[in-house]
Amino acid sequence: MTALVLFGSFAFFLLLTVPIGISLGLATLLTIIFADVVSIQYLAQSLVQSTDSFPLMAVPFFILAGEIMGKGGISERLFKLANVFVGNLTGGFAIAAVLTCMFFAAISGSGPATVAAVGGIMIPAMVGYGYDKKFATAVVVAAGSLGIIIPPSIPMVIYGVAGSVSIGDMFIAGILPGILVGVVMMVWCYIYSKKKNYKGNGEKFTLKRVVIAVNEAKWAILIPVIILGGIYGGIFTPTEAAVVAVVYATVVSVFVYKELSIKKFPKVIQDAALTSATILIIIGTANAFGRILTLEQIPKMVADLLLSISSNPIIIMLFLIILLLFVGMVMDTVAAIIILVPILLPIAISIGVDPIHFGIIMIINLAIGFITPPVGVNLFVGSGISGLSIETLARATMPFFIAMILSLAVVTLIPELSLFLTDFFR
Amino acid sequence: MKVLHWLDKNIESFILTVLSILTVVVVFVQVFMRYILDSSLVWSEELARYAFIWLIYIGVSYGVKRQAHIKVDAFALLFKRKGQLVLGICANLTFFIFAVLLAYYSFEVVANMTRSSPAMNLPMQWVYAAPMVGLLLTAIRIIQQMKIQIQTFKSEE
Repeated sequence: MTALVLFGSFAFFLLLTVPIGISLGLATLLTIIFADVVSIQYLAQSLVQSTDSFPLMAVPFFILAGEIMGKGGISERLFKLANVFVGNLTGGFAIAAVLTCMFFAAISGSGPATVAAVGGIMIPAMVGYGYDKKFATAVVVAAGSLGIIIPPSIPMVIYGVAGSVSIGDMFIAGILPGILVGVVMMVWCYIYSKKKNYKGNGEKFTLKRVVIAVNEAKWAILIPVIILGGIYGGIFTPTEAAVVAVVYATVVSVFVYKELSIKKFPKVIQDAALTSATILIIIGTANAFGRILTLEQIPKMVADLLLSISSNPIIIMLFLIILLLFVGMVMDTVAAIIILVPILLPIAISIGVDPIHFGIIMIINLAIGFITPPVGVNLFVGSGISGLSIETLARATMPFFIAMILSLAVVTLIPELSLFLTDFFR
Repeated sequence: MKVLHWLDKNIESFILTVLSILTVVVVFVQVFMRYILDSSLVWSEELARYAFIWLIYIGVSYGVKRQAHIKVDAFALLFKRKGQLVLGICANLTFFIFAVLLAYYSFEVVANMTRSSPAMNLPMQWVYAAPMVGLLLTAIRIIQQMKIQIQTFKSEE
């Protein structure tokens, strides 16, 4: 009964379009009034206690770093670099767009931010080159979801905090699966372009051009080296790495590339703080919500139910993936992680799945949710840039959705893809 | 009046800018001290965490002002414009009740708090006051929003 009040009222407030974080808090409040499981003061205190976490601070810092780099002229240079490598292939522009998203994902931890930073330049450029606008937008919308699979990744930070898993390990584990998803998307770009006869740019691949492009983009390329190298070299924690990225990005954007004036800075900082706060309030209220879940033994009930249906790990995993896909479609990523990790992670562990591997599976699932309606944030950003409707865009993104599902199947069935590098670095 | 107008326009964005810069500088100095000068700071992480908590709750109010909170609006899309407006007003009213109630209970928590922070010896009341202040500010912002919504509703009648 208590569970019914908790989830029922949560769903009700969500439908009423109350913000997700506030809906969690209100559902908790109602449940406390109804069942008296914990005190109301506990809820008030948990607003502070759940956010009083240094690892969690990686979130606002990575958001700020991404915001600075999105405006500081870094994505143009990454695109030029990508173009040197793949521009001459059939559909070179589209493949370069995916590669640019992969590069940008290695310095940004957000999906929609990657779409915004890369899409703003790439979509008009591709259309100008003769590509169909629907396809051009779909490429960036889909590849933008790599923002959370390739490290750094904000959802991975949240997963690490929620599941008591090393954030550094999650970052490293995301590298190969991220590359896999990117490559599968590129293959589709190639097939589609062959059909539509989209030619390459005719510029031959030469070492000289590589050197020039690498030199122009060198300050941007160094960022992932600093972040991952710093964390794995034991020089700093993920949160500190994010701060170093903020300072580094500021110096590069303002003094080296000179594309971001000091005057524009307050706006950039405020936008980043806004994004951070709207994400983190969800964590502030979700803690007490999760506490009631545990007290009511809901994770155990869900686990028992699942394990009573089947004891075959593959069937259970399939079930979890379908559930995650559904949740990814209708729910915000951070909220989904915070609510579902305490329920699903114990089940995954009980069927022998490594917590890091499960984390990567979960992140890819939720990344797929970025490009599926009704709540596909990448679709919203892409629609904002291109002017195409969500329906048109969702249809155009369909092949990439299939590409991601295929990659997800591979990542799920081959744990080594996620765990090889973490074991290697350990 | 001028002061009030400035506050209405800038209070959250000003505080958020200051807190953001503060946290970046403090953590950066912490890294610098530890790896370049080889002497760890004891207070830096604590200060950064507390500034971060304030950033979140002042940010909640800013989120209302800029209408940027994350919500599920799939259901709302089923309604026509007027229905959406009514739904929005109900949602804001609900949010308002939550903000006021939690601000009150946060006040109770603050009033009974006697601990001090381990490193800086700062009374923890200053930290626990963040949701109280932030949610009160949020409540004011919601009233402002609802005023606009009700005006729009009336003008469309």
